[in-house]
Amino acid sequence: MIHRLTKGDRVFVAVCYTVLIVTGLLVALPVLNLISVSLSGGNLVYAGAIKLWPEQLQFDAYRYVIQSKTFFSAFRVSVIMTLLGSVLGLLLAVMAAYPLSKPGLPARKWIVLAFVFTMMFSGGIVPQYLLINKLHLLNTIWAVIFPSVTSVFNLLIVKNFFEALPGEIEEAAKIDGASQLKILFTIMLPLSKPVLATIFLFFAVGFWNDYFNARMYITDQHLMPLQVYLRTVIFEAQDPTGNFKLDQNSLRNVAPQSIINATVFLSMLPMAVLYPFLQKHFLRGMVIGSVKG
Amino acid sequence: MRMGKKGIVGSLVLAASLTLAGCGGQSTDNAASTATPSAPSTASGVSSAPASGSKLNTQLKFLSYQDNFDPETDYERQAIKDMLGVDIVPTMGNDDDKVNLILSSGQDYDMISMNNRNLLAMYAKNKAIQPLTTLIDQYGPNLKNAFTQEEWDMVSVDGEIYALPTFNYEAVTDGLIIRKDWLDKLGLPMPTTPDELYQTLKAFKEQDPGGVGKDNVIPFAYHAGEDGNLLEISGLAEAFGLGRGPTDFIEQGGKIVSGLDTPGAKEYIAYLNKLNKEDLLDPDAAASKHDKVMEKVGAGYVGAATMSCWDSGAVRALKESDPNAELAFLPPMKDPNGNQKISGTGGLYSFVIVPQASKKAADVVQYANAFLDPANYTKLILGDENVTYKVEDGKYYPIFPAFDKLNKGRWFYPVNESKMYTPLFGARARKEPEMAALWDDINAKADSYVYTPVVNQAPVVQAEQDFGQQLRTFSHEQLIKMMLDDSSLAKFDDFVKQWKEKGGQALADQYNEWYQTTK
Repeated sequence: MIHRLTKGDRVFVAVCYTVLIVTGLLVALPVLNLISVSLSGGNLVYAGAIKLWPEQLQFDAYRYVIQSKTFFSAFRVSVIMTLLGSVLGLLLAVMAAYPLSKPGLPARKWIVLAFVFTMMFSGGIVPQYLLINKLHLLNTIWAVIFPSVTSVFNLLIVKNFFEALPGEIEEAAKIDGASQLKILFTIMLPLSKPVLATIFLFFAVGFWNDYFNARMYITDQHLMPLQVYLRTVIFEAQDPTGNFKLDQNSLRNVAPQSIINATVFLSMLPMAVLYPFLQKHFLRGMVIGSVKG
Repeated sequence: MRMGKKGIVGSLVLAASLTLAGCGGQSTDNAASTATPSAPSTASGVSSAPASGSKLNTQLKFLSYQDNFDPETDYERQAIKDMLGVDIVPTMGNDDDKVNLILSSGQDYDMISMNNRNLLAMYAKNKAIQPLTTLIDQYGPNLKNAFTQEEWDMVSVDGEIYALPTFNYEAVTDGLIIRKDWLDKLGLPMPTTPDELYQTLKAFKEQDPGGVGKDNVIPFAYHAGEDGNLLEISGLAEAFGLGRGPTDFIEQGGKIVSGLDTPGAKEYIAYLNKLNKEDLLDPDAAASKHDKVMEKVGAGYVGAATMSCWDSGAVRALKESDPNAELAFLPPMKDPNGNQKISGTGGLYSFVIVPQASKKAADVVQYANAFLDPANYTKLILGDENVTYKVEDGKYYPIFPAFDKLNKGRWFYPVNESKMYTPLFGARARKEPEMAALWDDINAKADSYVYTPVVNQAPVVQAEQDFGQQLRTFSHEQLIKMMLDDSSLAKFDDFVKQWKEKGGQALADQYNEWYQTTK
């Protein structure tokens, strides 16, 4: 960047910055508005007066959400589901991808094909439901985790990454007498942090945002994840006669939209926090995994 | 990705699971007849229902809609247990495709609440749910009293009752609202006909009684941009001899006809077109949803608008921007003969089915019967007088914070009928002073003019399934064009022709087929 830029370069950089800033604003402004509405006085929200900054600052909407037992129950379920699902997903992806990355594996091509086949065609929701029912997994957290825990897409990314690692490292380890498992866990995995971080993020975002599986397989309110909870909050706001349960005085200063927004903000917070930590790996992992396939 | 899957899969689910339900039904047929106690003396009308006061002692697994509360610890669940002896095992999430799968996999639910009558007919035909007529004859004297034959027909298939109905309260919640303070300032009376309304809106535009600036005044705002809105303004459209809007079906001379086949439709659209042409209509009307309209009302720019009595937030917002502002509902506009009509909330709201796999159909019916028993009903709905609610001048009011524990009670109701429920519902409608004022205002002015759209009682006809959605989308676009643009309005007859070709005629025919059978 310290090199002298030609005129053309400078124009190019300027254009890049403009496009990026505009795109960034397009993404950031609605979020800013969402937060402002969640923090503003009810009458102003009703009158549509809130744009980018909160007015008549109040935290009643957040107080309401935080006092809600169902919110925390859903939040806990989502956290457990996400952690458990992502770790398990990661483990399965690695365990499957590692052998598949070895050229010497017998019938490797066919096994990979079998995996890819499930990416293109699935049994459909009815057999899946019946299966989960027969396995007695309905109304357990596993009904949400198992259908998504094997991701062929993620598996292929990890496999490609492993294939790109120099074979000499493995040979050296073998000469030193390391077992296959030891090679995988002490040598290959530490080298694979970028791809591990990447697919961990894929899994985490997937599980965190899961709505469909929970909606289909769960009927126990205590196992409802956050996304299903969010939907009930939005419905609740549209039904004034069964309105939010608040004492009369605080109810009057909070627009239902503020409560929806506060809930949305709190539920996207964990993913928003996770992103920056994993992002640097994320970018590298994507490129490495995909280009050398 | 996940969400995308849902849509594609939905229709497959329906088809596949019904096939399965069919198979399941055959094999569990016997279970149904064992679950149905033999009714020895139903013909004589002798009822062996338990006397009110004696409690059931049973546990029923209930699936209803997803909501934001913990049903297990809810007050209503405990009340049902204490008063009726029924231990409800509550579960949530009754989306159609999920219910399909639950029924087809024969799970142990005893009651499922739902509201799609198409599915009811399919389930009945596939024997996925249990017939209830015999049980109701035997155990349901209160149920039998609560509903008319017509009402039972709405949850019956081929003359057999397959569900316990919940009918909505009967009231008016939506109407036209006007700035009373603007009228007073101009010395104008409340408009009573479409023409008087037009004159009033014109005066609002020209004289700006609110002092918001002549360019800012929005004489009339309504939510034409709401998805699938078909220029429906109940309380105004009826004054043109229509239903809630130009495409609604109405009863005329013993037949069901589309509003489009009456002269009123074009007159009504021309009326809205005139409002638009003379800048009396909100320029954003075509894209406005209800919330947007309420924002503008709340900001104080709007003279008259469609509004619901639940929009108390808009009243408070308006009072804040202008403490002297006053909103009042207009009585339904009069037609040339002086008749007034406005559509109400009545009708079938939801219903409870008993899956084939349940062994407790008789308990479900007894539970629903006990629920409607006058000795239990008010307490189950509103709790204790002067503790959770109070009655003043015959009107029901909630007492806070005690009433809060009843907030989600409706989730549990196994059955409901409108005559008993409507006055009690007032306690919910009066949760806030502003909401109470709106509710009382509109119902005082409009309650005696309520009608239920005629096809609301009809079964879901095939043409509705085949063309309904497509027809609404088409009509929505075309009607809005006609409202905004003279050259489109001139092609009104073409629109009617196309509307009929696209399924409107089939709908009319099938509704008439049904209508003739009701006589």
